[in-house]
Amino acid sequence: MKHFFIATLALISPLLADHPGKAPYELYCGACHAPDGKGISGGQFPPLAKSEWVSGKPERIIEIVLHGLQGEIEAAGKKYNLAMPPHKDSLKDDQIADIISYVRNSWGNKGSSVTKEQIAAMRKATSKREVMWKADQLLKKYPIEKPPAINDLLSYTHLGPFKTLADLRKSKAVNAEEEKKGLISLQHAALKNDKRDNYGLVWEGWLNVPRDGKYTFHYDTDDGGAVSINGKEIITRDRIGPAGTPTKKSIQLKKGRADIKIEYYEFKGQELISLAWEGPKMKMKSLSDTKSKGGKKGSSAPPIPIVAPAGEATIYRNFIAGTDPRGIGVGYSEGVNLAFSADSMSLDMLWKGKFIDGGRHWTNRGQGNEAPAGEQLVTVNRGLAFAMLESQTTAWPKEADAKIKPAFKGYSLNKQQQPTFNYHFGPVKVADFAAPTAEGFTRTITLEVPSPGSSNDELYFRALSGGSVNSGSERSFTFNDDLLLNVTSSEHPPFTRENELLIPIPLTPGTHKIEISYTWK
Amino acid sequence: MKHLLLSAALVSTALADPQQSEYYLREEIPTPEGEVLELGGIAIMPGKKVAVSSRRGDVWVCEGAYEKDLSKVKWTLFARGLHEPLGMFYKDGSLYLTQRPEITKLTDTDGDGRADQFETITQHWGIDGNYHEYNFGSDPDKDGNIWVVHCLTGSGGASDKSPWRGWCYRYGLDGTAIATCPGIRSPGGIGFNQAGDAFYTDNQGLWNGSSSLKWLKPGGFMGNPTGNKYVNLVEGMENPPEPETGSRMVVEHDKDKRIIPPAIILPHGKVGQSPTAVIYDSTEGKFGPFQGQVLVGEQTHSQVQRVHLEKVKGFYQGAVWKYLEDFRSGIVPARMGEDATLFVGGTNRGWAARGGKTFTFERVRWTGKTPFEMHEMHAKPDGFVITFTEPIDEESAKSVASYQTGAWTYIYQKGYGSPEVDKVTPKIESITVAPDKKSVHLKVSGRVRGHVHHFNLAGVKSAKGTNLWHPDVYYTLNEIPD
Repeated sequence: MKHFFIATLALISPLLADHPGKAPYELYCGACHAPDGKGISGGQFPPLAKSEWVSGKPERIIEIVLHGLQGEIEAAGKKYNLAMPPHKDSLKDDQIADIISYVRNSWGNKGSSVTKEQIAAMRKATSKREVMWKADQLLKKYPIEKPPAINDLLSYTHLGPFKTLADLRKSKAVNAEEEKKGLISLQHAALKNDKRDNYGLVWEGWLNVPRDGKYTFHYDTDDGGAVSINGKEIITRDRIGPAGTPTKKSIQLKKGRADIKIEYYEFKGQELISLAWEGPKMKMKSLSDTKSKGGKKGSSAPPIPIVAPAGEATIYRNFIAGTDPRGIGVGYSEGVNLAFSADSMSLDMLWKGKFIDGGRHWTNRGQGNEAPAGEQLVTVNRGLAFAMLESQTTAWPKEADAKIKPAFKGYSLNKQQQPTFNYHFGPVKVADFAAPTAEGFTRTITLEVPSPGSSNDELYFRALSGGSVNSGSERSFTFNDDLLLNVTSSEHPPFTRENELLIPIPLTPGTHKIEISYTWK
Repeated sequence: MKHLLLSAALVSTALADPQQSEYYLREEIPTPEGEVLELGGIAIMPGKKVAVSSRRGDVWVCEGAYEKDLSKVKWTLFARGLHEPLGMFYKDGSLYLTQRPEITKLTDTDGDGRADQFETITQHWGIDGNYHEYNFGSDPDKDGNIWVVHCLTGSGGASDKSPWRGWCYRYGLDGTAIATCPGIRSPGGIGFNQAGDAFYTDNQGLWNGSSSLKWLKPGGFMGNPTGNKYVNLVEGMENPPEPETGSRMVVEHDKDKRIIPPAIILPHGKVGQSPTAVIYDSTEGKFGPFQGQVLVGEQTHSQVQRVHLEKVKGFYQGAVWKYLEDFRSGIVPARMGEDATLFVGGTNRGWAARGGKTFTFERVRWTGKTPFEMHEMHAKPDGFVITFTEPIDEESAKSVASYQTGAWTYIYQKGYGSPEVDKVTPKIESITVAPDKKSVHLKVSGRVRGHVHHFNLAGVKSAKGTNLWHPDVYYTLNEIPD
C-alpha cells in the first residue's frame, strides 16, 4: 500500500513543476518571504509575489540577493523597515540563478530567467561593494520601470519678468522639449543655473485615468501658475508668493485619457513646483519631481502612543532624540514630561503634552531615535550635570574628571511611579527627584558628601546651558523665552555666564540640597 | 479520487511516523489581555510564579503557569519602562535583568507586587543608539557572575562610541567587570551546560559560515575580529587573534589555539536559521531520556534543538538533532521550570518566524512515553558510536543501506555566511551492534576534521519496528580522538 503512494507521488511531482530554484528558495528565502511569495505572517515581511522589485530588468534583484538590502523600502504598496543579509558569500552562482529565475516566474510574476554566468558577471562587476544596499541608492542605479506619470509630456520654456498668468500667456516659448520621465520639473536644461529668476514653464501631456470617479489635484507653486484638465482651468494660482499653501481641486474624470496642461512662472527669489493627484482606489501620486512640504517624512510605523495612567508617571527607555543613548523618558499624567540622561546624569529635556510614540521602536526592528511627541520642548542641558571647576570662569568640561566620574545607580519609584534618579559623582551620592506640577516641575537634588570631604574644591551644578539665560532676580531666570527657572533653595547663590546657569555646591561633609522650579512661560 | 488518496496518505503516515504529540504536550499560555508580550526573558520565582520580560520593556508575573487549566492564569504587572531586556533571573527576592544599557536589579520593597527599586549593577559597556547592539545575559555562574554577550553594532561593526561590542564579559553583582572572550558577532542567547561551562549561540553572518553553538572558554576567541579594536582602550591588554579570511576554522585554530571552533554547527537552513536560548535538561529524566543535554532555541523555524556535547582534546564538539517544533512564534528565551515544565517565549518582530503569531508564551511537558531516538553520539578514533533511547532491531541497524552519510564545512571568511564547501561522502566500513542493542559502533572512512558529519538513519528500526522520530544527526568533528 505504501509503495503505491510513493509511486503515485513520484508521478505527480514533475507535474507540480519542480523548478530547480524552488527547493533552495524555500530553504534560504522562505523563512521571510514565505513559500507562496507573499511574505510571512500575513505580510509582515516584504512579498515577492507581484513586487515591482522583482520584475523588470534582472540586475536590480541580482544585486539585492548578492549584497543585501536594509532600511526603509516600499514594496507592492506597503512600507517595510527591515534588513535582508547579503548572500554573495553564502550562496553559489547557480543557486542564486535558480532562486531568482524561480522567483521571477512564480506567483504571477513574469520575468526573464537568469543564468549563473549573469550572476558571476554581476558578482565580478560589484566585487568592491562591502555594504548592503539602501533602497534609494539602489533605485538610482536601477529605477523601477513604470509608466510615466504624465504621458507624451512636452515642456515649453518662457523667459521674462512674469508677475501674472496673463504676462506668461502673452509671451512666446523660447524652447520646447520632450520630457521622457513624465514628471514636471524645474531642473530644466533650457534654464541655466545662474538664471533662476524671471522665467516660466508650460507643460502639456495626458494622464491615464484608471477608472471613472472623482480625482483631486494638489498644486503648490512659488510663484504662480495654473492647471487645466481637458481644456478646463481647474486650479488658478495667479500670484507672487511662497509655496506651502497648496491649492486642492476635485474633478470628475472618465477612465482613459485626460489631457493636462500645467503653467508656472517664477518672478524672483525662491522657486518651487509640486503637483500630485489622487482618486478612487488610488493613493496620492506625484506628478512632479518635488513633493509639497506638507508631506511628512518619518517613521513608517503605526503610532503606539505611550500614555501615563491617571495619577501616575510612566517610563520609556529606548533611543530618544535629543538625549543620550542611555536617556530615560518620563511622562507624567499632569501633562509634563522629561528626559534624563543616565550617561551624563543631566536632565536633558522638558516638554509638555503628549509623551512619546512607541511605534518606531516597537514595530519591525525599531531603528532610529524617536523625538518627544508633545510641544514646547526645551533642551535644558546636555553633557555632564556636575563638574569641578578651578574658578567660576573655567569652561565647562566635556569629559568627566577622574576624581568625580559619574555613575548611574538606578532609580526608585514612589507610589505614583515617579522616579528618583540615584547617581554618584565620584564619592558624592546624589538623589534627584522632579515632582510634576500643572505648569512644570519642582526638582529636588540631594547630595551626600562623605566625611572627610574630598577637598576644598567646589562642585558646580549646571542647571541650564545652550541657550540665552537672563536673570530676573538673584534666584529667578528666564531661558530662551521658553522657560522660567527659580532656584528656590541652594546654599550658594546661582550665577549666570554665557549661555549657562551654574550653582556652586560646597564639598563639606554632610547633606546639601538644591531646589529648582521649572515653569513654561 | 484525489481526496481519497490524500486522506489515505495521511492515515498511513500517522501510523508510520512518530508524532511530537505522542511524547511532548505543547500548550500555549494565555498572555495578559491587550498586552504585546514579545518575550525576551523567563525567570522562575518562588511560589510557582513565573516572571517574563518583553522586548517592549515590561515585566509580568504569571501565577498558574503550572496548573492543568491554563485559562485561569493570573498576571500581575511587575515593571514597565525597561530597555529591551534579554536575559532575566530571580535571586534572593529580586529579579536581575540584562538590559540594553545596563544590568539592573529589580525589587519590590513594599510588597505591593510591583517593583519600586531599580538598582544599576553595571553599565560598563557603550551603546551608541544602534538598534542591533543587543546584550544577552546569563544566570549567575558558580562564582555569582553574569555572563553577557555584546552584539556588534549593526551586527557587523564596532562603534567607537560603544566599547566592548563583540565581546563577552562577566559582571559581578557588585559591578566588577571581567573581559572574557572577544570574537562575538550576533548572539541569540547564552547559558550553561550541566558542567557549568558557558555557551552562546551566534548567527550566520560575517565570519560565521553557519549559525552555531559556541563555547565561551575564558580567554578564547569566538571567531569575528571586528570588536578586537577595543583592546586599545586598556593598557597591556593582549591583542586577540586576527584570523585569515577565506580559510577554514580548524586551520586557523591550529595556528592559534585561542581561536575556539564552534562546538556545534547548526547547518544553516537544515537545522534552523537563527539559534537563540541555551539551557540544559536538568530534570533527572522527568522531561524524557535526555538528562544533561543542551537545548537550543530557534527563532526562524520556531523550534528547540537538542545537543549532545563531548570534550575531545580539550575542546567541545558534538551532535545536534531536531527536537521540539510547531511553536507559534520564533523562540527566543527558554527556561526549565519546576515539575519538569519547559517554558519558551517567542517573537517574530523584525525577524520572520514560523507559527503565525507575532508573539507567544508556551510550555512543554513530557507525556511519559519515550520516543525512539538517537540518544548520544560520540566520536571515536575509527568512527562514531551512536546510542539509542530504546533497543534497536539488529538486522536493520547492521545494514549499511540503513544509513546515508555526507560531510561538508564552511569557509571561515569575512563575508556574510558561506556555502557548504569541501563536500565529501564518508563511507561506513562496518557496523557493530552492542550486546544490549542500545548502540552501534560505525567504522567510518573518509571523515574530515572540521567538517559537519551528517548521518541519516531512516533505515534503522527499533526492536519494536518503529522509525526514529528524528533520523538526521549532524556531528561537528573538530577533533578526531586518538
